[in-house]
Amino acid sequence: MAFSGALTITDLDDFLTPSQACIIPVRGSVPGKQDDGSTEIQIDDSNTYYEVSTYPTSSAGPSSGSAKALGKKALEKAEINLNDCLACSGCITSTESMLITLQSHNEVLSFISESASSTTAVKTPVLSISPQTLASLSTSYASSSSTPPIPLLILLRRIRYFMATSQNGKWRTWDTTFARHLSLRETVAEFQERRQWSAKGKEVAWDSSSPEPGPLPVLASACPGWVCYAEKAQGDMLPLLSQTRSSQAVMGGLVKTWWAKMMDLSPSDIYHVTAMPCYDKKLEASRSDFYSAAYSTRDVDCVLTTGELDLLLSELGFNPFTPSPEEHMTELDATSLAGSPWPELLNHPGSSSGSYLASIIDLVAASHPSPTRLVTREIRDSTDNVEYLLEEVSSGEIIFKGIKCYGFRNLQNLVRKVGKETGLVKSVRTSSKLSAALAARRRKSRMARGGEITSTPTPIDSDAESLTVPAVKDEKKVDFVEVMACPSGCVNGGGQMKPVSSVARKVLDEEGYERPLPDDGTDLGMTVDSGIEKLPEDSHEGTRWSTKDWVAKVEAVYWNGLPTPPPSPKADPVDLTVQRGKTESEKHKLADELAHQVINDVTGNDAAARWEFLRTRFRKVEGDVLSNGGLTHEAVKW
Amino acid sequence: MPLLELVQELPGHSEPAWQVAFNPSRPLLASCSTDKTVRLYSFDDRSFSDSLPASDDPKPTFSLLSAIETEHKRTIRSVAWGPDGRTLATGSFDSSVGIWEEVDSDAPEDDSEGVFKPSTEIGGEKVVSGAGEWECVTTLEGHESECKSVAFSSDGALLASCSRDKSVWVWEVQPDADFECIAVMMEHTQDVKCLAWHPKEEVLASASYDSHIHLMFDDPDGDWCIFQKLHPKLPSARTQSSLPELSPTADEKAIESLNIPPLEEDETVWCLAWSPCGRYLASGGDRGGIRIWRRKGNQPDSLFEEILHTAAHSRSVFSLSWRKGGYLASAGGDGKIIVWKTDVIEDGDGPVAPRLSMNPVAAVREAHSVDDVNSLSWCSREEGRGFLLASCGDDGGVKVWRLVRD
Repeated sequence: MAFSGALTITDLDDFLTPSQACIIPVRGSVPGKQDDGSTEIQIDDSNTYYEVSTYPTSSAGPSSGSAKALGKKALEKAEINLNDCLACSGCITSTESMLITLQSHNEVLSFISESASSTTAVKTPVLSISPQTLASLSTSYASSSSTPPIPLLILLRRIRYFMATSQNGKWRTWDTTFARHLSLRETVAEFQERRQWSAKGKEVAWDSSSPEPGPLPVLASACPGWVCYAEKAQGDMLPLLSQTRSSQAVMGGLVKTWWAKMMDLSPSDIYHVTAMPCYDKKLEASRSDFYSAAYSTRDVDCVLTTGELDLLLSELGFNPFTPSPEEHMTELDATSLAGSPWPELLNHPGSSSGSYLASIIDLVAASHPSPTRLVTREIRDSTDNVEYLLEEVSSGEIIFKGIKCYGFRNLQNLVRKVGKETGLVKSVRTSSKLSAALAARRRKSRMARGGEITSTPTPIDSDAESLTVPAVKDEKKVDFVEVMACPSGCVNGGGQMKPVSSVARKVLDEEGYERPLPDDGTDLGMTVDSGIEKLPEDSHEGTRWSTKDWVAKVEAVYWNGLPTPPPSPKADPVDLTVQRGKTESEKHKLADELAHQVINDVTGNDAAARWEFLRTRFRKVEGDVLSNGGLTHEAVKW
Repeated sequence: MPLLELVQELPGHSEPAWQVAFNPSRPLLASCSTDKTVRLYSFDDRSFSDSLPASDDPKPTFSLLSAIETEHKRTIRSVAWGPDGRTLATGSFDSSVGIWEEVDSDAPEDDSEGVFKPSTEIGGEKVVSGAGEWECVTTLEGHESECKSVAFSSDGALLASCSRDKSVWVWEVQPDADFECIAVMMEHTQDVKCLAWHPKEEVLASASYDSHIHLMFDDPDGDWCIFQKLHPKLPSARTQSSLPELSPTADEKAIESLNIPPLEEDETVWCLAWSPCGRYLASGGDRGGIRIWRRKGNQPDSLFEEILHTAAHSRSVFSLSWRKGGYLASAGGDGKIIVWKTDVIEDGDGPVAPRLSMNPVAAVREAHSVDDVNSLSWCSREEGRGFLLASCGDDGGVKVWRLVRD
């Protein structure tokens, strides 16, 4: 429930929940309390608010000005910026409405029109699109036109070609999978650090220039909805969060640091827009870690959701079915305007939410001296809550336990489970007297049920221990969790395209639209937007945003659209020839080499600089009005 | 006509008391309050009659057993017993749910056999002390704002909680005081006021400030889901009653004489109660009416229809409790407690759906002086058990009443 409001943007309302008052006015400077006289607030013609004493007060005496003598004082306007909202547990107005004005497709459109009319040098625009966004767009275009989905690489290149035209402002359009490649490599490195640190503790030499590794288990932090929830509601869990930057955050650094340097540009000369499956990525982009004070610029200037990118493209007149001249080229010149400075659409097998867990499993399996076997177990038959156990084949010993945990409900249980395993969460109270007494009573009730316990009675204290301790011991503790706030993960993100309903398609027919053919060059792709209709409430299934069928389609397009079909995480490297004429493994090798070079270029050999480039920090949000028991609102008596 | 007589006024809370709940298996009564305590009262009840007791039958005696100082940081709004009577749940405005179990910390369990213990038997029944220490074995967190109601399912396997954050959560009770969240339903558009489990099945009803009642079940083809959203529609019908307590006061007459047309806008649904048979659901509204909803079939997700809307209280109906024999008790902001007799009317011919009649049979005014009555609970531990009804109010008071024959 405590996800940021942005995650529930689809049913935006301004219902004020008084118990969650915005803390900013409370935190703000309290005006001097010396005034004892009663005051009232007046508003003048220019909408300025004044606090006016209703009778002269003693404090007004010493000051001489006539306005002051009357006790009239202009009030400061309270200003709430996005960072205030990030640091607050409640909200006076919908945070999302701020996001909409600050980071919207209109903002991007006005950037484009300003650049077009400007005669002076303008910023270099960059658009980075997530693969989940491409999959959602492709699925939506296909459904609204009854054509097969456009492969993601082709779609990416068509958008790139379209956005690169001078009338649109000569954008560079890339995908975020190379950034994800860096993020995954760093996630793996961080996991290794933390595992070694947990096993050996202080024996491991640690370069003091970067923070010490956190504890296990590692909880993936690529989902900003989860991060937002954790910071607001689960502060005790924050040390467990992976400190590695998400793909978007790495992309920001790549573009504004590495690529800027390569192109001899200042970071502030680049206007960087990302297209993401999720509204909360806007919050992520606003985090202070991703702001450069030196250049007063953000790594990502504006985040669009998939739906907003679709709006932007359609307003600019993009037709996804118009082929671009370069889309089937095998090699794109990196220096050409339409090229990509890094490998395009790298495939990371595992999950459509970033494959964080799969990367860790690959690492653990590869670094284990003997053969291993992966066992998966769906908890409660849920594909959103799956345990991955890596067993040593010879001994059957479980050497790694990972969990894929998607959706708010599963997340609640994860928090309870991990809290219990690590002792980080205090909601499970364990006074020793209580646990001993409880254990004794439970043992008694078990005996009463038929004597399951056959051992001879032992003194209560040790008995209580023997009942509680093995229960913890016999199960392998969790090592890594891929956490996502949305059910079904990022393909089902809150910012993704909504299902195209059959009703809407019929409307298109009746209006006599021609079916756009894959390369007929007409402008009909633009009707896509009108084809999107929110499904009636009743047809919503368990998943929050859309139907399960629709999500399954997007998932399929996500995998098929990539240059190779999805091999299972444990499959041998597939030797399929891809469009670029390279095998996927060669492509990965190239990506690895480039990743190495990028990190070297940006950070030299400085560990601290490397940390800043690839990692981030999380902060507990204080001032939780409810649990502090303070501020109550008597209006809500019952 | 039966009478509702006061059995005992119990040492109540220092601040408004919100809910009373009789333990389903032991002679214990629990109450909760803004003073952040849960009070437990024990009682002896010697009457086993299936029929209404007489006024001169011996009255049970209640005594305060313990006042549990909880760690809740704000008002405890709701209290509920597990069906085995060993677990107590508290729902608080601090947004958390507490789970409490009794700990016999001073009684070494191994000695229990073969050691003489002074018996505490009254009327042939061993009185389970309940005086042991009650400890919070776990807290359930997740609600974003004030928890308004908690309830255990009939077999105790599930616990539901609801909140001002508009959500309804279902938790599975697991061994060793462990709870796993199995559903979060966020379809109410406002504060969820009250929850009630079907008396036999895993069907949950929730009532909200958004004027709707949602009915939920565990869909065999998926997750927990809402299978019907009820929205009251019937106009209210006046009841003719000879009960002097229900005759309008001068103030009420004055208001009635103004002849204000009934408000058309939606009303908050404050409270719910299932009939013991599970075929009917009663709801109490903000404008003082009691509505009865009938289940149209025997499937878990059989739909409900509104069959009755009776004007009952002059202000909000805050609590309903339905016991065997068709006695439905209601209480509300007008300070009255009314006991209704509900009867199924078989129309005889044809497949006409049975109708239900409800008539007031007993009432008290100013049950908690001028204050709101917040909660009612029949003692339904065993059939015919004494016709005891507990109430609590804004005055912090906890009272026990008995329905007796005239």
